[in-house]
Order: sequence, then C-alpha cells, then structure tokens
Amino acid sequence: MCATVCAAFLILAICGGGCETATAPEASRTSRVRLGDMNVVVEQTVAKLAGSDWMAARGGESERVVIGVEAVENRSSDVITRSERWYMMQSVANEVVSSGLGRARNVSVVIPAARLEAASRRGSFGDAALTARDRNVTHSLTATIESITRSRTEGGAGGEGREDFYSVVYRVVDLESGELVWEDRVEFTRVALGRSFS
Amino acid sequence: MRLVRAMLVCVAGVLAGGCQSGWQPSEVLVSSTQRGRHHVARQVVLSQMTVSPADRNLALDRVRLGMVDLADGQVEAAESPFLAAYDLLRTSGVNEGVNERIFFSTEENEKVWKGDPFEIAAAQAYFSAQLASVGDWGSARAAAGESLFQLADFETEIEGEPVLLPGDDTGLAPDEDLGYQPVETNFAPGYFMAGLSSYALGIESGDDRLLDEAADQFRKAVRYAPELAGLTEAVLSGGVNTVLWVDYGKGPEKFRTGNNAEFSEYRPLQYSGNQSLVVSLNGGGTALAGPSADFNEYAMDHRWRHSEGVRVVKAAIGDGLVIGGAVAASHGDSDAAVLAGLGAMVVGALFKNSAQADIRHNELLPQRVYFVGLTVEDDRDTVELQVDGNPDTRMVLTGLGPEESGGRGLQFRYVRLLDGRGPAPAWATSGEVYYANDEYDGPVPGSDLPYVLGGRCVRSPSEAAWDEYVAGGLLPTGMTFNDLKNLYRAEGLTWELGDQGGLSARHVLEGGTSLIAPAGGTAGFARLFGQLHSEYMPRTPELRAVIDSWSMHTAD
Repeated sequence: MCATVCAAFLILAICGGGCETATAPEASRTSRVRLGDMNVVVEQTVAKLAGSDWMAARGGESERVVIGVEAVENRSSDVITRSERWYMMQSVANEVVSSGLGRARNVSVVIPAARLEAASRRGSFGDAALTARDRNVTHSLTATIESITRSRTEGGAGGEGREDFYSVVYRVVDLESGELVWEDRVEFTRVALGRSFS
Repeated sequence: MRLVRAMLVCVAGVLAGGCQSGWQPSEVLVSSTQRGRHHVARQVVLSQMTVSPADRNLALDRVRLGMVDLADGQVEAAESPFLAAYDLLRTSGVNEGVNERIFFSTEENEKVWKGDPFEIAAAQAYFSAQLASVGDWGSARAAAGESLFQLADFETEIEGEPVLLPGDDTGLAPDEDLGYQPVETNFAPGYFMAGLSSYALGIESGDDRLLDEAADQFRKAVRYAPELAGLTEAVLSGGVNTVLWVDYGKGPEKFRTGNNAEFSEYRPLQYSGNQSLVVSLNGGGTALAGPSADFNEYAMDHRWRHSEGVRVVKAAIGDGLVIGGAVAASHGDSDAAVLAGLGAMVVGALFKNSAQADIRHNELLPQRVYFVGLTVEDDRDTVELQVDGNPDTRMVLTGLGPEESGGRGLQFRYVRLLDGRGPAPAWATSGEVYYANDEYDGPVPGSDLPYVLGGRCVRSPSEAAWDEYVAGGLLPTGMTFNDLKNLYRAEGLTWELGDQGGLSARHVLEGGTSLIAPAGGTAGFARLFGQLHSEYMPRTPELRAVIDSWSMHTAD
C-alpha cells in the first residue's frame, strides 16, 4: 500500500513539475550596466557640471559655448554598446537643455552630424534637433567608463557572486586652447549574486 | 488483470519512448554553413527561434544567429543576437530551482541553455570578434575578458602542496572546499582577442597601460598557442593593419551515452589536424599560419565540461524502481502488492527516460581556428586563404581596404572557410566584384545604373551614387533622386538596419529586399558580389511602369 501511495505521489509530482516555467532573471543576478545606471550617471554628471567652477563663472551673457559630444570610451569589463554609449551622451545634451543650464550659462551641447549619421545607419538613435552640422563647436565632451571586477567568494549574508565598480569620467576640453576646462567622475557599483554558470 | 496488462503496456511504452529525443543539431544549418550558404543558414536559425524571453534555447539560438551573420559579413546585424546571448550568459540564477524540476522532467525541457564552459567561452569570443569587426574595441575587450574565466580542474592534486601547472604564474591556491583546483584558462582565442582589443584601444587612446595589457594577454595566448608568436609580435610592432579570424571544419558533436542515456560525451565530426593555413596577398608570396585553437580538444577536456549532476541520480533511481517494482510485481501475494510493484515500474521507467542527457550544443563551432595578420592597402587587393593540401577550401577575399578612421587602420574580419569536401563554388575563388556596393571603393562595370533598373549598382541611395548615375546618362528621363528613393521604398527595399528591425535580411541580389552590403573580406561579401545574379524582378506596378516607358523610350 505504501509503495502505491509513493508511486501515486511521484506521478503527481512529475505532472506538476513538468508544467512549471523557467525562473525569470532578477535584477540582482547580473552586474551589467543597466539603463537606470546610465540615467543616474547622466543626472549626477549634469549636476556636477552645473556646480563646477567653470559654469559658476559663466552667465547668460557669456560668450556662447557649443560643446560637441564624442563617443564614450568603454574600458570597462562590460559590453556597453555604441548605441548605449551614445545614449549616455545624448542624455547629457538633453539634460543640459531641460535643466535650464544651457540657457542660464549660454551653453549648448550638440552631436556631430557624422556621428549621428553613423548611428542612424545602425538604426540605433536619432534626435536631429541635437545635430551639429554647422554649429561652430568650441568645446568637446568626452567620457571614459572604467571598471574593477571583484569576485565575492564568501558565503553568509553577502553571498557569493560578482561585484563591478564602475567609474565614469567626463571631460570638457576647449578645442582652441586644448585646455581641460572641466573634469569630474561619477561612480556606481553593480553586484550580481550567484554564479553566472548556473 | 486488465489493469495489470494496461500498466505493463504503459511501462513498455515509456521505456520505448526513451529512444526518442528532443533537440537535435540541424544538419541543414551545418551543411549550409560549411558551404558558405550563410543566407540559407540564417533562415534555418530564424525558423527555430522564438521571441519569448522564457525560451530555454534563447542563448543558443542567438549565438548561432550571431555566428551566421558574422560569417555572412553582416557584422552590424550580428550585434543584437550576440548581445542578447551575452546578457543571459552574464546573468546568474536563470536555472535556479531547476534541479528540482529536472527531477520530474527532462533537462532539455527545463533548463535554460548556457552550454558547456567551452561553449560559453566561445560565445563570448565570437561576440568579441563581432565587436572588433565593427571597430568597437572597448566592448570587444570586455567580451574577450568574459571568455577568460578560470576552469575547474578535478584531476589536479588538491591535498598538500599547491600544484602549479606548467608555466603557471597565477598563484592560484587550491580550493579544498570545492573539491577542485581553479586553474587559469587555456582558451587561446580569448587571450588573443583580449590582447588585440587592448592594443587597438591603446593605439586609439595613446594609453600605454593598454599596450602593456595587450602584451600580457598576447603572452598568455602564445603560452597556449605557440603558433601565435609571430602574429602577436607583428601586431605589437604595428606590422599589420588587418587581422582575420578564420574558422575551418565541423566542431565536435554532443551525444548521449550510458545505460539510460544519462551521460553525454562529445565526439569529433572532423578529426583534428595540424595543417597550416596558406595565406597569399595579391597572388604574391605565401605565408603559413598554424591552428590556434582546436574545439575537439576543448570538448574532450574535463575542465571545459559541466558535471552530469542530477541526471545520473535519476537514472539510478529509475533503475532501482523498475527492478524493484518488477520483483514486487512478480512475487506479490496480493493484488495490491502487484499493483504497487507495477506502479513503481512505471515511475522508474519515467525516471529513466527523463534522465536523458541534455545534448543541446552549438553545432556551428568549427574544428579549428586560425588567426592571420596582413597589411592590406586597397579594396582591390586580394587575399587568398586555403588549408594546406586541400585546394577545395580555397577562398579569395576582396574589399578589405582599410577605412581611414578608427583604430589607426587596424581592422578585423571573421572568415568561415569552406569545408573542402567538394569543389569550391565559383564565387569563392573568383576574386571579382561584379556589383558596386557600399563596402567597395574599386571600379565596377555597370555601377552607373541601379540594379533595380538593370544595372549593377546595389549601393544604398546616396548623393554620391546618384551623381554617378547622372553622369552615366542611363537613367530614365526626368527621374530625380527622390523618385529613385521612392521607387526603392515602394519595392520594399531597405538600406538601414533600423528599417530591418535591427536584424539582417536577405540581400536584393539573392531575391530579398536588403541593400546592406556585407563587410568586405568576408564569405558573405564574396558570395554576393563575386558572382553574377539574375536580373531584378520588379515587385510593384510603379517600377514596372517606369521600366516599360523607359524601354519604349529607348526603343524609339
């Protein structure tokens, strides 16, 4: 009788188990850079730019500054696609406008037309309003993303997994003098619990 | 009695069902890839793919699509599938709790495919190759880095003194808790791609730290693939402007083994060989490149495999239940005991069958990998590749002239050689470019008229192309640039990836709608432009009307 019950239980379990679906990946299961990270970086960057000595010395009547953005250089341990990197720069340009910084300090941030066309060919982005075809670009904005990866091998509350410390450095250079007029850094950490093999 | 008979039939049926299997490698996919018919291979992969994020074969299908696109020269389009696979491979816990479910089902049904470690490393390295092909060296470096994870060595002595492998300078300590020794990977393609990416990035940025990193990675590449010594020196000294990753042959096949098919093994489909790759530029002197990686070797190396895990336990339990149930049923002195025995046999049979090993694998991996360095000056330069002693593998590549910007001229291409099991098709060895396209700057007869109007130009509509059409004087009278673009649109032609949903599409020369040219120097470029295709067949009344009135005008 016991064997019959066990057999019935196992058959039920087989039927039940077969109907389940795969576990969806959770946010804490990857240390990849996410869109939310980029948005935070952009927000903090523009805030730092707004609070910088360079901007503090400027006003609405200052000589116009046109900043042409360059692609972000990816030196991190994560694949950050060209589209994602352009998104980071385009977002800075948008944020400068929407925060009122551009008007208050007579600054505009534009994307060189050649860059935009290349991105458009890939179907990766396009906001023609920011295109700098003949805008007399005076400064360049570049950024570099670096990271340090650390394995978490200890058990307990922290759990094993992987930590990536990302650091994004933005720089504005005066194209005529070559002077570095502004540089600042935004950092964030991404932690993934568990092993990626599983 | 009827119930007993029914249960016996059930046991027999379940056991017989064990011979059936789920996933099978696609022979059409493999043979198409081996013959350079990557456009056909793409259709096969796409027909098997789903868009569901819960698809358990998501990573496998995306890696296969990325590899096919890469081989076909659709280097931009290959990014999206590779990225999807990369994202999943970097995510932990996608198979959390799956062992419990596998116990009552099959691994293929329940487990999200991530592949054996060597397949994961390969996926990351091919992604790195794609990123390098589009000049995104920073991300190529990151992807290559992801292929260089430590391996679990279960055979190296872990008691007592730490064991150092030959030439090992990692200083890794044995991990007694895990029962294995983490050891440095020997994945030479990963080291090479990491070194190459660091070098290109270092040259672009002028950062010496990256150049030092490149030298370090190259040293490790040479440690595991001494054939790379000359090439890595040439790269570091700036002696080449073009690097090719060349794949040849069929990779190993995964199959089931064991009494209950609960184990899996790999077997070579093409035996490993040491034949060099013969390389010639513009028909001049030849150079030889030795194989840098052998996927048969990786597949046979326990360090590059996952352990069998739950399936073995299931198979053992299944055996026990079937045998125990049979004994109980035959010796039972009551109907209940007989039924219980038969019930156990049914469950045991189900366990045995569901213990079948998961044989999903990336059947597009090659048997071996070569890396080649060259200095190419012009799109018209020809690069000939052939596995030594097998002229049927010969391929003549064109369109490799370096672009002016990016990586100071360092460019990267992936090439999939033909299998050499029959004469090479004419396109593979013609070395000709019969159609003007966006990836080729050399002169092409007939380039002054669009293909849809009977010419040999398949460039995307641009002012430069239009100027050449006008100068040729062959356009229908009164046609404007906008008219031509509108005709293209009416015909459903696309020339930007965004209009193709970010994915590759069949080229107009092969009956499709895309004008996006494969990257020069790839098999896809040679197949499309190295042979003549049939004339374009208009799809819309608009184009037919233009051609009809134009013909009448010409006849007059």
